[in-house]
Amino acid sequence: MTALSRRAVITGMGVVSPLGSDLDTFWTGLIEGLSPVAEIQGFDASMYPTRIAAEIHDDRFPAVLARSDRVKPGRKTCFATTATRAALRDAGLDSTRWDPSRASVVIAPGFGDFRHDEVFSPAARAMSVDNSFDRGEYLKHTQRFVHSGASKRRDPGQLAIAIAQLHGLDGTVMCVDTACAASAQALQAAVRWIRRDSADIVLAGGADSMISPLGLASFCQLRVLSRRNDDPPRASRPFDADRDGFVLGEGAGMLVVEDYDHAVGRGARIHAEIVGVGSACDAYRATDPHPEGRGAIMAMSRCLEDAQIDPSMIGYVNAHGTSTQANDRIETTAIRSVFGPAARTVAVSSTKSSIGHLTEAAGAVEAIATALSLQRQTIHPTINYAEADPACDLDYVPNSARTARIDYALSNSFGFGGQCTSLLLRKW
Amino acid sequence: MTATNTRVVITGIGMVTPLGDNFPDTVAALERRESAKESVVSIEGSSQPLRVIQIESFQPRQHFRVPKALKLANRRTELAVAAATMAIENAGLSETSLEGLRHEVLIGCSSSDLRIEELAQAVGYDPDGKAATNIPFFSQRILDGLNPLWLLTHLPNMVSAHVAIQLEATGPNSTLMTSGVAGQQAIGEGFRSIQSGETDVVLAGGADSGVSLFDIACFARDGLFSTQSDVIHLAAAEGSAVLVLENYVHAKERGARFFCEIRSHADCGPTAQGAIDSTILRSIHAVLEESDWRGHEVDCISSALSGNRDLDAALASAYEKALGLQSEVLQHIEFDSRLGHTFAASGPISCALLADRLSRHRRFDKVVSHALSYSGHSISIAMQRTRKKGDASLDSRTVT
Amino acid sequence: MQASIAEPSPEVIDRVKKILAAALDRPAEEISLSSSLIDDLGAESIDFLDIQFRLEDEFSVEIEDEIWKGSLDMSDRRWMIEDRVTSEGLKRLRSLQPEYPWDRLGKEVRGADLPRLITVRTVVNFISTQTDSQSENKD
Repeated sequence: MTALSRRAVITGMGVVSPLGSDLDTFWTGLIEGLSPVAEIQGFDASMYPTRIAAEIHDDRFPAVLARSDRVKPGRKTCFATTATRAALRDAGLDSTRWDPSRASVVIAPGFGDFRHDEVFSPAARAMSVDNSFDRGEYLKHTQRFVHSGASKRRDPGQLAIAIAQLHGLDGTVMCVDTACAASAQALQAAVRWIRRDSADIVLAGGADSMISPLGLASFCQLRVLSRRNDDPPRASRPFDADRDGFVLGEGAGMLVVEDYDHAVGRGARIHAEIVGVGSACDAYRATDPHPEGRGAIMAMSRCLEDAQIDPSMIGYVNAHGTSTQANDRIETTAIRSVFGPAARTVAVSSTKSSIGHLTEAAGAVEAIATALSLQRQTIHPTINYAEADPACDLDYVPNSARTARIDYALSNSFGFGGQCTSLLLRKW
Repeated sequence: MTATNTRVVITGIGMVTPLGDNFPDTVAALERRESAKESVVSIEGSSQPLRVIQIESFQPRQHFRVPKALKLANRRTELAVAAATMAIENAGLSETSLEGLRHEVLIGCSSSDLRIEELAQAVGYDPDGKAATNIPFFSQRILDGLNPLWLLTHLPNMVSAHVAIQLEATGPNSTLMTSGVAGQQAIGEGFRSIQSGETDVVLAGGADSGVSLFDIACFARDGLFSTQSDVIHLAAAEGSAVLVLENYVHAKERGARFFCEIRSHADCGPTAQGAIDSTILRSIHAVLEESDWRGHEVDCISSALSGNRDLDAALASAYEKALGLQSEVLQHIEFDSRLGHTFAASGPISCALLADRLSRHRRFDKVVSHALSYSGHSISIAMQRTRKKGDASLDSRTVT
Repeated sequence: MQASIAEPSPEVIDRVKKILAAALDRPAEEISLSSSLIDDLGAESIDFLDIQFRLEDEFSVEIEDEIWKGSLDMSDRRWMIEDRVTSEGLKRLRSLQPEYPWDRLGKEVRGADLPRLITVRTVVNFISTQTDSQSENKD
């Protein structure tokens, strides 16, 4: 079984985040415990119960409400292409340095790239005075308000295709969507392709932004967002007793996952090795996590089993840690159950305490944070941690970074719907 | 390529199509040479009426173990849960706890439904379309009027998540969204997963619908699926097919019946623009090579049609090149012109119907199912009548 | 806050039951005033949001999220310590929800158990007070 002994290493990382869009700025921000969470500027959010988010302020990216009749890539697509270029640069790679048919891409694309006015201009006009909806009216108005190219823009799969064509990746192209676990699942797929010998290089990650008028509204309606509008930098407070929901962030994380021999053959610098992957589904309820954290426990256990690593060897867990009551409590229970006695000593921190929840991009960006922790032997803190919650009783690395000897680090990502993925990284 | 010994067989099929609410009904309707009933949607101000096929008789409720989940189910979810539940029954696994098996769930869809009507209802009467430009106005209306469950019915990942909830499938679970080939990709990935020993059973397939209001609006704007169109000469439709893929030894040990064996798969992303025929060729050559078949040995190739005339011409010529013209028995079949374009479900429907033929008709032995997205993404899956280990004679088991 | 509530009108009870039947996918005849939304009718957290949304629509009232805590407010330290309901708290709960089959809960009642105490009557009572105060306001 030579194929299964192939090893997957990370040789390139690109990040677009609310803390900044290069690895050093991103990492320094995390270490210094900065919070980019502030009042929303991308649109007038004054009437929402949640008016804060971790936005990216960078003129290179089109505004969330940019109106254009021409087909232009939207904000999220630009996050993805920027992170991809950065990852390739970081890896010292371009299409001349791989066999195109052995270079693949797998991405968590978020929703399609349709625009607010394109959806609501015709929809609103289809309502009559007595509040009934008229299909014919709706379709009539779409002829004026929906721009050409809409059938491609509504298709999230186009993002992966665009990246593949831009960079000459002729292997497998895949889009995976498992909500907030999606880009971690993309990394899992990349590792499996490398191990199966179906690719030498895989560009894997995700891009997302739900900080839009409809995106924000839909999360507000679900009552999952923090309403700490008077103190935005302290709103995202995973594992703290006073946490009241998550804060939306936006961005992209793209990683070059490469076959170890291929990487060594071209003299690449290796950030970390992905030694284990594990996924599971709660198969329980749409939003409620399983009360004992069934999916989370299975994902972590399968990941450790895959890597054949004992939990006591793991120095750091980059938690899903959203800052909602349920997630943080149940993730804690699940870590306790998987780690046993080792749970007392393992350091656990949440990247979301700083940059908020990057939804489909979260898993990839957090995998980058995890790789940087191993590389720099430093653990970034869970910021805004003030009061202990008796139900969350692990070492959350509160408020200040620490140096530590870490050989192995685990990164957790869980989605609405119960899809859970864990990745285990090894120091290089 | 990898040398592995694990054989993969198809042991269950579940399907909902415009020709039948289940697999046997669909097969029977196709054998009666029926075509699904089309309707035409005319749009005021547009000269291009749309061809649409909707499934009307389908009752999702009977397939939901937890019926309360129906209120969270969009069309794709209903279709996916129904096909997955029927596939599990068909495979003789409905009494088996999936938790005790190594298994995965992979369902492909090409987009997610915005549920325009629900959004419009939430905004309410707004003749000037203020909701589109005045965000404070929009937010007040939508926060007051949008059901909190809207996001959960819209989120694309919920399609495979609901399959897991209904079947208590705790294994790895993903919704793939790789455009129109997402379902074919789910089968390919599931096949590789079993072949490389990562799992034993995969529920793989596609569930898709291109007939929601937003879909129709987008297609109409781009002149697709129109009665006048040269671009896509099919009707937009909906449907699903889920296959139970299984490790051969595992299936044999539990006394399962096989439809056929999957021999190989090749997934070739769309290269540069304009090189579509080479991508098609590449994917077919790759499955032939891995299956150790010669082109002329292939009895039948089925294509999930793009519906695009240029692409379909590229298809026909690539098939000729790859499989050779000398084969007089080669059949090129496609089901889309009779079922309509079922998007990401089209590949799995075609795989399932080929698997059925392999299990019932001796004149079929080696077949290829090929799916192509309008971007040129090409995925081929090679299937063969199941053989007993080390024996070249055909497995006599048939499906009735 | 325990103002005596007039026995709710059969019409309100009927409309509430219909909403619960639709939201929880249960036959209306299975639903009684003493049914616990969670234990007996299988409600999960998002169902409470859904029910709240449907009630607002049906009765044209604004319902704050507090509806689900309302009568079960345990914020006083005498009633609950570190997620555990004290014996004093338990007394209070029993008096607030006399219909709930208390033997269902173990000896220890935790914060997470509180929503289980919400019955159809809790909802009906809430709606009655809301619609009453609304008609008072109108007067």
